[in-house]
Amino acid sequence: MKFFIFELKKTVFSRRFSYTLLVLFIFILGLYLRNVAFQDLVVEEQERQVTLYTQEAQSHLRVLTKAPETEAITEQIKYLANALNMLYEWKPLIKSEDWQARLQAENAFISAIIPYKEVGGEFSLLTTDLNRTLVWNEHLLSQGIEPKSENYSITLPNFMKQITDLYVNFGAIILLLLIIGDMLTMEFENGSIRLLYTQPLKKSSIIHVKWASAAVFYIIITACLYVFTWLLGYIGGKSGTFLYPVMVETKENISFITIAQYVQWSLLSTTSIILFVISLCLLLSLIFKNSIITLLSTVLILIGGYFGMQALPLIKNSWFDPFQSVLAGISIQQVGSEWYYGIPIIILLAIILYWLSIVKINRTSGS
Amino acid sequence: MIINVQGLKKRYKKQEVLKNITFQIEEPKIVALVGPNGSGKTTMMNCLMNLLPFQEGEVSILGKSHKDPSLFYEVSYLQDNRVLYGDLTGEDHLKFICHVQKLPAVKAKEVAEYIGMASYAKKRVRSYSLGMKQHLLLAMAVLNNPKLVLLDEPINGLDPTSAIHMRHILMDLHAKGTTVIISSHNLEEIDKMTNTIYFMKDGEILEESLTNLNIPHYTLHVSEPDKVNEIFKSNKLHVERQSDSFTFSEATLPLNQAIEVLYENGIQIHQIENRKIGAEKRYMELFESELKS
Repeated sequence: MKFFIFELKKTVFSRRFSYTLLVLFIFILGLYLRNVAFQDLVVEEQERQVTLYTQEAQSHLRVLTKAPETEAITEQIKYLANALNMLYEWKPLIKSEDWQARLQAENAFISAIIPYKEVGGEFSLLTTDLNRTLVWNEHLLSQGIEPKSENYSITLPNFMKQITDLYVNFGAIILLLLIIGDMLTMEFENGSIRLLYTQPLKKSSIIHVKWASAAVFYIIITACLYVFTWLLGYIGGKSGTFLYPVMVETKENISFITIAQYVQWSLLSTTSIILFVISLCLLLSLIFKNSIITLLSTVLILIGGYFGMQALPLIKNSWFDPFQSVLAGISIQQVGSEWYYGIPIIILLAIILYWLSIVKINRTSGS
Repeated sequence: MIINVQGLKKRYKKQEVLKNITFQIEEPKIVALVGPNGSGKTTMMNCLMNLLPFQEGEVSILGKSHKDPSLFYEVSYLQDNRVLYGDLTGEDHLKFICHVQKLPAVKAKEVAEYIGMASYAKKRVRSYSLGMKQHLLLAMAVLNNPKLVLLDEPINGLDPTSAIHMRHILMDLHAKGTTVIISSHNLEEIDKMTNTIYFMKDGEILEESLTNLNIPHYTLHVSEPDKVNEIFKSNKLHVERQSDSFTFSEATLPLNQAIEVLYENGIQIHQIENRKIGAEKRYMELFESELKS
């Protein structure tokens, strides 16, 4: 136990750990302040978008009315004129407190523009995006949940989701590697491994302790991140709901989970990949005994593994895709409630790499 | 037997860096490894401590294989100060050693006081001077009251006060029954503290010499060496036998006492040699060619 505490102290009292936490706090605070500053801009941006849609619709309408009269053109003019009317109704509602009326107006526009596009009309919005927005708005209306900006929200649940997005999509891996990525290679580079090797310790205990302390650091970083995010959102933010939906878009359909589920699932998924990353990093440390090569190799294996699996449609996000948790948030938004399918294989690989590390260190000399 | 090394050979790729090293240390003493840089002193220590694998030979320490980790309950190795963790305090290091050595934590404080580092034990190692780091390393090495301690150039870079302090601690350890193997380039200090010097060159032990320690060493050439051996053993007198001669230090056996014992037993002494070979003088003789170049 004291060996473990000694190991923890080595990192906790290092300048790098303090600086990393400081940078993390500054980043979260900066993101939050940015969101606060951009609150008015969100409305302005939406207003600008509606204006652009209106101008585009007017422009297309002018072209259509000058075109030779055919049945298709007449139909397009009918649908586009209807969509334009919906835009005129939508615009004054953008600054309105009545978010339900606002969503209904947006949906009315979408419902009008989709048939226009179906009969061959031109419009910059993609049908898939229109359908997605339609389903999203309908879900919010049915749940009675006010929409929030995805990128600039200051409500606690939505801000937490924004932080979670960054953390679970490789952020946690980068942070952990920054803090503990060289915890074993440093011992070889500094020669301090010789102190451990000349004590009545089993060499395998070094792996046990390093692994456990890395896992503890992951917990510490995660706890610090969420406590700070929660404090910011709680003190300065607006109230919201953790039932706020997160869209899950599979090949077949669109469904919804809540922010609470998204945060829980993505953190569990990220934890599984972190266990794998720790084992991988320890094994590579013993092989290369060099911090930079070890860190680069670890990152390359993870990125290569993720995109390699994504390129294989049959394996991608299946139960034997160990890399789907590398970008856990994105994976969850692709598979929904099947998010845990890849965890057993990743845990198994983590155990195998851990065991290989023990075998390797027992064959490793101190220099 | 404290240490028994037989036919130790170590190669890096095709280069042989240790060539058939053989030696034994049977009783507690202070042994110095002396030789130019690259002569294999540190490599040999690392091989003995199982930090480096070797291709041929056998090493046993205190009757155990050198690969047995439990050996380190009785053996310490003081290495260069890069093994220390700059972000931790001296006390952290000592408490860690106490823990792995299964010693009470209070021992850390006792040793810090004994070594003279109590005043800065709670400071982070990164703020230590070279001398302070060497003292911490020494404290870590003596914490478990080892039967054997190896020190790789512990005096190098120390100011005279620290060097003298370290010498006294090592001699104190030896007096308590610890065998000390020390590698150093400081021949003056070596002369003052060691009993035996292994002069090394190109991975070989060229010569095992007794040092004067500022105390004379004698070699007695006698009749009936087997009988003399028995006499010394029965009187529990520490001497080293070389065929028909016996060597001892004035510190362990005064010459008068040796002569008296042999005279009482009717032994005829053919010759008495007073060996006063200083480390520096002998080093110059052995490495004359290198010094000239």
